Amino acid sequence: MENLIANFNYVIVVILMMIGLWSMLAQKNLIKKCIGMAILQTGIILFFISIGAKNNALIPILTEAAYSDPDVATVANPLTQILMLTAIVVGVATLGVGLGLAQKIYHQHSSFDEDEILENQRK
Amino acid sequence: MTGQLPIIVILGPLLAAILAAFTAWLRPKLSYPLVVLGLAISFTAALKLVFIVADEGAKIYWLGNWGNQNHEFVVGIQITVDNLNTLLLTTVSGIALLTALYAKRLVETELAGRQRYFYALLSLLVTGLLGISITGDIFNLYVFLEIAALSSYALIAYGKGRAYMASFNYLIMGTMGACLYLLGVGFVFIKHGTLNIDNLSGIIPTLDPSQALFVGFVLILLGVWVKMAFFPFHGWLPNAYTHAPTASAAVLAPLATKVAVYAMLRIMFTVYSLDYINGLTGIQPIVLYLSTAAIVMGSFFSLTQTNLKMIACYFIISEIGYMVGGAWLANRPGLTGAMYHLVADAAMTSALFMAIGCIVYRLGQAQLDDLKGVFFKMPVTMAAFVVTMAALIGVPPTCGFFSKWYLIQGAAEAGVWHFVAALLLSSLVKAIILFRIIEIGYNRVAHPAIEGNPAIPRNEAPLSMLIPTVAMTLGLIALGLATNTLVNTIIVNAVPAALTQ
Amino acid sequence: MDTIHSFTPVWVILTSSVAALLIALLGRWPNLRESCIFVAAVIKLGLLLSLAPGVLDGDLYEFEVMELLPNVSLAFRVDALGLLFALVSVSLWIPTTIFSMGLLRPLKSHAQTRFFFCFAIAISSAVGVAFSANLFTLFLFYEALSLSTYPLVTHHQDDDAIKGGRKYLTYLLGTSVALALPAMIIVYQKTGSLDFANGGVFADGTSTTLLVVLLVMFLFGFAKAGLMPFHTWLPGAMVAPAPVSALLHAVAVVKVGVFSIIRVLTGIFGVDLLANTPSLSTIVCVLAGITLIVASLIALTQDNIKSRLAYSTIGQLSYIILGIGLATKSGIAGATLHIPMHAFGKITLFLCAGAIYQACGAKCISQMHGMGRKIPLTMTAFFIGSLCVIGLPPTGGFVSKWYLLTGSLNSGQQWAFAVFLTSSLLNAAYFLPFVYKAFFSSPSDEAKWESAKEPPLLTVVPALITAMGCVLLFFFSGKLYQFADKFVELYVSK
Repeated sequence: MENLIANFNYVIVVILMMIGLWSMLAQKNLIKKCIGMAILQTGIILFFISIGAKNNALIPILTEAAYSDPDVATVANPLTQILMLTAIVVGVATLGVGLGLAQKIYHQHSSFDEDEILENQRK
Repeated sequence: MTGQLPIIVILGPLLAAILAAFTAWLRPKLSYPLVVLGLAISFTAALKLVFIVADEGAKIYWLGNWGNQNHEFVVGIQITVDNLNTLLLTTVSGIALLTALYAKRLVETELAGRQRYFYALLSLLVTGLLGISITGDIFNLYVFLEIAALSSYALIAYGKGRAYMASFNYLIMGTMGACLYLLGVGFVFIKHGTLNIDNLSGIIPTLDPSQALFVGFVLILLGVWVKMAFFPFHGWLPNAYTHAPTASAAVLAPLATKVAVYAMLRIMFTVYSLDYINGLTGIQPIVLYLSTAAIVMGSFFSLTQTNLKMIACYFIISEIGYMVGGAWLANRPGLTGAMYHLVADAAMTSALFMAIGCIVYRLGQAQLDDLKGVFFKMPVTMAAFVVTMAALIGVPPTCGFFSKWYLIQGAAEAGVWHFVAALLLSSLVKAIILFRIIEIGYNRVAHPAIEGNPAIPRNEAPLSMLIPTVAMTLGLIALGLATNTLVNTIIVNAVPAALTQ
Repeated sequence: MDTIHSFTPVWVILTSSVAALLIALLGRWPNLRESCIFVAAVIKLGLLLSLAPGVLDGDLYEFEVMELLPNVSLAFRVDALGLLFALVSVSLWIPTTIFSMGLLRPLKSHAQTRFFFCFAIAISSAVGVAFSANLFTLFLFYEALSLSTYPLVTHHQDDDAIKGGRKYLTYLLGTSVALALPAMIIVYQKTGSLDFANGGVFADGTSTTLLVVLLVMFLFGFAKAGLMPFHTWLPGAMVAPAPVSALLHAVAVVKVGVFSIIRVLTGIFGVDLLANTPSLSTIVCVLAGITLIVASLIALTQDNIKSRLAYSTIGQLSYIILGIGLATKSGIAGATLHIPMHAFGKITLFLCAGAIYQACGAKCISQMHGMGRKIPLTMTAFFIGSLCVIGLPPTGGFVSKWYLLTGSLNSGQQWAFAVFLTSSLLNAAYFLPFVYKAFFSSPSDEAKWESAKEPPLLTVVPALITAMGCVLLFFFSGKLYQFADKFVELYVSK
């Protein structure tokens, strides 16, 4: 239990990802699937950020003085943050494409419900 | 100049994609030649790299010449060209170029009035695929994976009818795969603090096997399996590639899944190591059973389909089983077979979809029942189709025969007989399908040469489509004849050194 | 004993492939098209004969085209057995072509160009099999033969033809891919070589279980040899036009199956291994023995001429396999000789069956009563052919059966001797009454009998030529024995 509390950030990440995965797989509504996708991606982003975080650490900006010998204990790991900037961009793009497709499907079938759409397609 | 070749390989289609997107606004006619030019540059560079790397060994390129190369931990963006990926780079850019040449007429009819951004997307897709193959960093691999995936969602959604829904399902599955992959990368990063592939391959063998390492491996593996439509994550593929426009399918089907297989090989044998794989005694048999299941299932479902494109899609699923199985045999012939099949299968699938495209172009669709008399209508296309199917069946001297040869040899060496049986079964199923098509297309029609029977007018696909199709088909035979050279000069150096001594 | 590096074997194979191309191009001019075939056949025969003196001196002609896998090449090697088989197939190609012209032209059959094209490719493949230097090359041409004969089997393109064709491919492709190919790969994986060599490729001490499994896979994998239970494709393939049944399903295709088995038994397993491992030779002998007797018994019950001939062929093929399985010098020599002897006899019978059908539309034996008096030439040829298959003098079949019987006595396997004799009696039982009734009993169908007349020259003459061949082989069997002897010398050390 203590272990869980100490690592509460990871617990939240896992919960977020499970919610995301569940709604991507189990929800019938296309928009809810997209929302689930966004939640899953947010979970992963938080996961990476918490890998790089440190207690009482500052933002990783190099000052002139510390250039030659930076004190790594006082700054957060910049790499994970940079990576997640990219991942956010990817996530937004994916979400955009997903919502765009959902909209097109709605035009076609006047519905967001997967079962109804499949029914429609079979006709 | 030769020092810059690795970056030129991806820069060609990337710049072409950006420029083509802009010209699509201003001068739509310009985007096609731009893309062809970009792909041609990329192909030439890749081809040149094959020879350079075969002679001199791996080439490492630092983006912007920036990065501390002497430091223990690399800072900077690395791209690597070695014997494992030169062949793939050439295959991807070559097939993309040929398909772009082939697709012009097809796009004009299938996407009449909507083709404005098609070539920009195609070029972007190729950029992503080439990026996956060339990158030296597992996070960049993720980014390129998503570049390729995003453009393929769009390319698939170009289709009619069910294409939107198929593309949406693909998007959901694909994103899930990418997220699993990214999560795995996170685990690897926690443990090692680096994402550079060369660095990782140096560090991982020195560490004691840990849970984080293992979980990272499994997550990455699951991620790429979803991307390559490996059984049981294959559900998205048949619908997506069938309802996509034929021109999109012709470039996606041969390349997208194969590049994901390459990513798996890279992760398994460069990032992790042969010893690590051999240490996973619990997982290896399971994966081999899954590969067998993929082959058997793919073969079975291809028998039940009535649409030529659908059949071809299930072929892809069973061929993925070949490669995953070959890789997990983890012995020399098995790996050689998997790596050779990477190239061979890309070529075979490409030729298959090109032939199907020609049929669709003339007949409008590719239901088996519509094929009556097609051998008389389109003799050249069907000749190419028969040769391609023979290659898929594994008739010597086409390339399909030799990949099967190595895979069966590897499975026999490892004593994995269910995999041998599955490989043979899939050959037989493909043979049944080929002869069913011959029966329908040739025999089930009154022969026009007999007096009194109606003549069947020839209605061959246009030359601009026919020539690439025939070229690709002849390539299958050429590739088969070149097997020994290919294996002895390139693939032998790509297989982990421990196996070749 | 020299090994000569020579391009001639490749030329021999290429001549009919080139002919095939010309046939396809000249489809519009039938006369020109068919003269191409004759020119090609004569050139091919000439090239083959030019190799004969050298081969009979014990030389081997070799040519390696390219290495396809480590230690496995696309390579040709001409030895006595290969040359003999190639000579038989090519020399019978000429009368069959004449016969095809006589049969197809009056019927204005469709797709004659396709027919002759595939025929030429099939001949190329058969010669390719004959000249293969290793199992890999052999397999390649074996498959080419299956594929190139499929359009010939389905030539009529009606439902029966499609059904027969389906069966044909299912059996031939199915067995070769599912059994022969994996067996070949396992051999390669265990030994690293697929070259045919005296004494085989297996190292001493290879586990007998593995050998037995591989042997069975090869025996059934080369289903063209018609070993039971993988034989039913042959009766099914009888839907093909008569010339196809004649040359391909009495000579080229089925003999390629047997030839492949001979190559595997002598070149991959090795005669010594076979002789010293009782379980191996017993498997070969028992499988062949059963097929021999059962096929002959089934033949007795068939009323359709072509199916009776087909079952007879299945039985005769097993003579050859049984001869090799005995693993004695005279057994192997007899088996080798049985290839040309049976080829000439059986092709005569098939050509006659085609001619009979053309003459009076009869497909069944029961319709043939009294026909001998109306079509004496055809029936005489048929009689000589059946003598040859039964193995009575003065025909070639007598010689080969003589050696086979000697071989079975030498090997000490008396039961094989009994099997050979029983089967020959059965052969006589299913051929001779037919000939007797055709000449001596009264016609059963008056109307048909009245209208029957000798078929056109183009169909009768080829049958007479091959019938003459049967007799000539008896008198020149010494020459043929030299081939068999050379082959035995090359592959049997003791």
